[in-house]
This record gives sequence, C-alpha cells and structure tokens, in this order.
Amino acid sequence: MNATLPTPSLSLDQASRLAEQIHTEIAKALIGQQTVIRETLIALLAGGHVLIEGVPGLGKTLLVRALAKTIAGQFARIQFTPDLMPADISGHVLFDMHNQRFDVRKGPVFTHLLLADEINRAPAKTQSALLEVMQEQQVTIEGTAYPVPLPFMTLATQNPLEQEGTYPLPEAQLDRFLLKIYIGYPSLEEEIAMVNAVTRQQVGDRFQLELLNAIVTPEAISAMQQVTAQIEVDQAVVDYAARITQATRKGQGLRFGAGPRGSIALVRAARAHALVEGRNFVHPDDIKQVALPVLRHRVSLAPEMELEGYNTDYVLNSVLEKTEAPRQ
Amino acid sequence: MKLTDLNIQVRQRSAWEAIDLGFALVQQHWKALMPPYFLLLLLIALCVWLILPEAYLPIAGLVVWWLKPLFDRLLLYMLSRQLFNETPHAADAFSALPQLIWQTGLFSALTYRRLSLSRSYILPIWQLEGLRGKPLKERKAVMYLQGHSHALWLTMGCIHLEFIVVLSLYALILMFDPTGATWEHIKNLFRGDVDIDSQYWRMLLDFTFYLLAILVIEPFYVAAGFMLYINRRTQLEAWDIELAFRNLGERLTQLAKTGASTLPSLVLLLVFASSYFSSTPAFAQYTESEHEFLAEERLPPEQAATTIKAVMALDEFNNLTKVKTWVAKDKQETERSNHKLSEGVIQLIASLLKSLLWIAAVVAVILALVYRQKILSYLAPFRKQTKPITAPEILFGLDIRPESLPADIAGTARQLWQAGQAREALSLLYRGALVILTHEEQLAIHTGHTEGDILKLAKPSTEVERYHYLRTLTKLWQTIAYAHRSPAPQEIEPLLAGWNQFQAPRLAAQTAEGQA
Repeated sequence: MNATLPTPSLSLDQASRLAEQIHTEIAKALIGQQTVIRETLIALLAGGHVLIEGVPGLGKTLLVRALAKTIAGQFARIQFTPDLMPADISGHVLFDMHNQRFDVRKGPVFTHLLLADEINRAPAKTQSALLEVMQEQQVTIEGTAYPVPLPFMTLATQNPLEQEGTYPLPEAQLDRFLLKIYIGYPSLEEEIAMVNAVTRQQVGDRFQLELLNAIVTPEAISAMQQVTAQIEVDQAVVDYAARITQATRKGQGLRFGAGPRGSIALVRAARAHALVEGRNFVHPDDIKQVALPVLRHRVSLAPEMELEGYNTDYVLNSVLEKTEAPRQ
Repeated sequence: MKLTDLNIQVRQRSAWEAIDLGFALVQQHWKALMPPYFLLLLLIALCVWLILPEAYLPIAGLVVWWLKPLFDRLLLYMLSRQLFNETPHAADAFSALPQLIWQTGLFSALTYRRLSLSRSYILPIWQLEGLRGKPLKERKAVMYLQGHSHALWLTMGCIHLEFIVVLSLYALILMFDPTGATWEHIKNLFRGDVDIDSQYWRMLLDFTFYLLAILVIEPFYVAAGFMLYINRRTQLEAWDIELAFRNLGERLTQLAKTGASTLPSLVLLLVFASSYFSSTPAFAQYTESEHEFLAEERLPPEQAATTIKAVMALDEFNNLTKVKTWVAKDKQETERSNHKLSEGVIQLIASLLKSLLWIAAVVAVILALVYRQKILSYLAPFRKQTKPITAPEILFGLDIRPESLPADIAGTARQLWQAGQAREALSLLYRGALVILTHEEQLAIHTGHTEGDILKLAKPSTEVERYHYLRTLTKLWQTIAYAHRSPAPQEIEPLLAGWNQFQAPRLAAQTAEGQA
C-alpha cells in the first residue's frame, strides 16, 4: 500500500494525523518501543536532534532506518571510532588533477537523517565537527558554507555499559541535542512479536524495511515542523518551563542545572508533544511529559547522589514535584 | 531431672554473682545455644521484612522486639537442659517450639505482660514449673521478695547493652564511610527525619543492626535471669543443704557397703581411739569448755522466770521503732462486705470474667486481622516523611476552600455562562471539582501537580462516569486557560447538566453533616 504523499501546506489536524501514521508505521518495525518512537517523533517535529542511550541490539539503527523510510528521506550512518577525523564527517576538498581544480566531496552529514553510532567513541575534536551542522544546519568546507538538506536530524547513540576508551560528550555538545532518550529492553510479549516479525519467511535477522510505506515526503516534514512552531503557548506555560529549568540550578542533588537552552528546548518539545496529541495549544502537562528527556542530559548529578545509586531522572522528578504548576 | 545432675556448683550466691554465673553459662554453651536461636530469629526477621509493606520498614524492629518472649522461651529450653547436662540439638528445640508457644503463657507474655521488666526472672516459673493461677501468684510473690530489683536492673542493663551494640556497629560503618552519609543518617535518626523512599537500604541496615544486637544480648539476658531464679530457689528450698546431705548419705551408704569387710579393723580402730581420746588433755579441755556454757547453778523454774524477765527488761531488748504506714479507713467494712459473697459466687464471677476476657481477646485478634489495613494506616506516623494529607487552599491560582463556593455551583456557573463569562463559569466548575476531590475524596493534590496529574490521581478512585465528566471538564478548562478559547454551548451544556451527578458524594456528605 502506497500512501499519497501530501503537499507541504498542512493544517493542524492533517499534521497530527500524519504524525500518528508515521508513529504507527515505525512501530511495525520497532516493536515495543512506543515511548522511543514517540519521543523521536517529537524531536523530529520540533526540528531537534536526539541522543539515544541503550545497550547494543535494541534497534537503534532500525529506528533511524524505519524513520528514513517512512519520511522518504535520505539516511546516512557514521560509525564513530577513535581514529575518525572531522573531515570524515563533514567532507573535504580534493584537487582534481584532470580538470586542474578543487572539488568538494561532501561528507555523510549531507542527508536528512544522520545516525552517529556510538558517538562517544570518537575524540572531542571529531564530535565537535557535528556541532556546526547540528546548530546551523550547514557545513563549512574550506570557508564555504554548504547547507544540509532539510529536514535534518541527527540521531546519536551511546552505549552505557562499555565506558572503557570512550570520550564523554562535552556539555556544549550535549546541549545541542533536544532530547536524550533511553531505549530499554522490550517486554516478553513484545519480544515474541519482534521475533515473529523478523523470522517469518526470510533469510537473515534484519527487519525487511521494504514492508514499510513512505507516509510523507521530507518537504511535508518541514511543513509539519512549521505547523508545530505555530502552536500557541500561553505565557504561564512558558513561565512554568523557565521555573522548572531554574529549579534544576537550585535543586539539591545536582552538580549543575540546565541552561536557558533547556527552557527553550522544553517549550519546543512541548509544542511537538501538543501536535502529536492533536492540540493547537500547549498546556503544562506537555511540559511535564517532555521534561525528563529534555533535561536529563543538561544537568549533572552530584557525586554523592551518584554514590547513593540515584540517577538524574529521580532528581528531576523530585524537581518537577516541587515546582508549582502554572497559576491561571 | 535431679538436683544431682546440675552442672553448676549449687551454693548460695549474691544476686550479682548469680547474674555473672548466667553470663558464664552462655559463654560455656554458646555453640549449642546459638544455632536454633539464630535460625528462629532469622526466620522471624525475614517473615517480618517480607510481610510488612516497604513503607513500614521502621516498625520491623519494633515487631521483632515485641516477639522477644518467644525467643526467650527457646533460649530457656536450651539453657535449662544444658544446666542438667543434656545437650539438645537445634531439631529438638524446634520440635519443642509448638509446646513452648502454647503451654508457656506466651500469649500473656506478648500482650499484657509484654512490658514486664522482670521477664527473664519469672519465665522459668511459667515455662519450667508450669504453674498457673493461684500457685503461680504465690510463687511469684515469694520470688519477688528477693531478686526482683536485680532482675529489673538486669533488664535495664541489657537494653542499654543492645544500644551499645547498635551504636558500635554504626561507629564501625562511620570509620569506613568517607562520604559522611552515615553520620547524616544517624543524625536524621535522632531527629526523626528519615525518608523511607530514598533511604530504604539504610533503614534495612538499621533493622539488621538491631537484629544483631538482639542476637548477641538476648541469650545473656535469659541466662542471667534463669540463674537469678535458680539462686532464689536455692535460697528458698536449701538445695545446697539437700545436695550436701545427699552427698553425705551416698558416702555413708558407700561406707556401709564396704563396712562388712572392714568391721574387725574398724572395731580395733574404735577401741584404740577411745583409749587415746580418754587420755588426751585436749579432749578433756573441750568437755570442760562445753560446760562453761551452762550455768553452774541450776535455778528453780520460778526463779529462772524472774531472772529471764529481768534480762528481757534490759534496754538492748526494748529498742522500739515507730513505723508509719497508710491503712484504708474502711478496711474493716470492706472485709465485712467481702464476706457477704460466698466463695463459690466469687469463683463464678471470676471465671465468667476470665471467659469474657478470653472471648474479647479472640474477637480483638480476629478484628485486627480483618482491619489490618486500617490499623496499618494508623501506624502511618511511623513513616517519618509522610505528612498528613491537608487539602490545599489554593491550586492553580484557584481558591478551593469549600466556603469559597456558592451553594448552587451549577446554577451560578450557568448564570455566569449566560452573562458571557465563560472563563469564570468553567473556573467555578473546576474549582468545585477540585474541592470535591481534595476535601471529600481526600486526594493528595500538591501544588506541583498539573491538571493532567490530577486526572491520573483521580482515575483509580473515581467511578467511570464521574471520571469522564472530570476529564471533559479538565479539557475545557485547559482550553480556556491556556488557549484562551471559549467552549461551544453544546460542550458546556452537558457539564452544567451533569454537575449534580458529579457532586453526589459531596451532597451526601453535607446531608449527613446536617443530620448529625
């Protein structure tokens, strides 16, 4: 079944319905990771990037491939290794002997969806090569800025177990990611459904992405992002988002809290959340729903809390509990 | 069991010496004593830990403390047998456990006698002598005449020793904890500021430390009390003299048996000895000195009586001491009135009251089982961080005190709606709903809860129709509050019409109050 590719001008209802269809389509491939799909979709609609943390083999690559297939967009994957160079990511200029001129060879970042696999395996210099493209959505090669195709989204992955020989992402880079998503193990029923889906009449252990349909075009995604950006946010809700971010700076158990970019990210993600819910305005619950993935990588847990075995989600939840809901 | 089997030297000791003997008894027999006791304590502690909900972990120590009389019985079972040179195994102790539970007055020890400070001193009367009723009372009265104060001091001492063990264990942890978290935890314990949610493992450690303290101290406590009891029995029944006579008897019996063969030589010995003693000055001197105790002159009875009277009139025999004591004024009257009832009637009333008490106790236990959830909720203050649910007065900027609402909420909201004040109308309905949820349904809503959180909180305790009403109302309230859009008349009309049904519990409460 091939869906009709919609035109870029969209209403809120259309955008919301498309978001739901994309969710359903990806869920066919990535079984049992509803929250991950939902949060990835929120990041896509808000025009942000995501950092996915989870042990290997949970379908991080499959998620990106399925998303690329569903939005009929380009997909590229970079496996980060300690010897990866910045030019391997962004591209470089090569002298063409035959034509006696310099040719620009664009790197893998020139795509719609970029999977930066095990991003913490490369040194900080290489990681920083992603900074410009994530922030500016353009790459400068030899002084010339080259825009990347829109919509552009980076999905970086991290493995929480093997920390030996890794380079933790610098705070400046972490701040560029709109959401940090945890991907966990599926339940028994979901795993059974996954095994059935992957092993039914096929060779190999990969999900057949050909079974997925393209729901929208990249242009339609840009249109959906436009619709998201126009969703109303009451001043009380903005105030609530800012108070939550402020509270992380004062809250006990945190070495440092989130910066102003955290408040901005909260409102952006809450808008996308409202669109996924089919609403044209944001209410405080949207902020609360996205607060954990938005803030968990922007704060740092105090060493004593780490020793006690707590995680950032625990402290953030306590911050959310203590922050007063908006007054109307 | 015979007195001759006792493996301690039976003699009159001071009470402190008896306590010390008890401690020595544990030191000597700890290998046999500890395994069954440790197993029982571990089993009970595990059961308590598994059965009690997580939030009630602070009272787990209290439960184990309350069950101490049970451990005491097992320890006394082991100690009493070891005292008579028996070595029971752990299996024997556990086999005897049902008997120890049902036949040693455990029920009373766990209820109205639980706070007795002479528990280990009196336990042998219940467990080893098996006395009940009047004989028990009489025996206790005799036992209490001496040794009771020492038993009290023993209990107080052992309580403090338990604390010392617990604090020592904390000191050990403090030495190895560079973060200072343990010190903070100890301070919090004394301040009563412990959050069970975040400090579950620390509370579990507290429980474990207390168990270790009981494990170490309780055997000494029981053994010392037991030895106090043995010492008192020795005083009362002259066990030491009885044993001395028995030994003498045995020795003489032995001599009598061997006497037949040695009779000729014994006769010779006696003859020789009599001739020797008759010529010994020392013996003669002894007989003379014996006479010195007797008056040289034997007085006639009348004269002797006069002399005795004269001696008795001396100051040494007339040292009078005045003692004041409180005596009931109507004592004679009470005694007289007591005689009005015959002994049979008194016995009948006593047995009737006793039966009633037993029935009441059984009913209380059954009720306690049935209403255990409620009782546990009364124990909620033990959750240090749990604060009583107090309904907030202002939520989302809305005044949600019941007195701030009009009597007819739906009617007032309708008037506001018709006057074009949609926001005020919805605000009134939403406020009303919050008042019902917080005041009538005791929903713990905090200022950090959003409208969505309140819906989630209300879902489990609200009927489906009322929940749907609340969800629609919340949705419309959010739309007008955050999107500044008024709902369509067909959206608000069902809310106004369905308000009375939603507030049915509130009306019922008001009616009940009115009737009261």
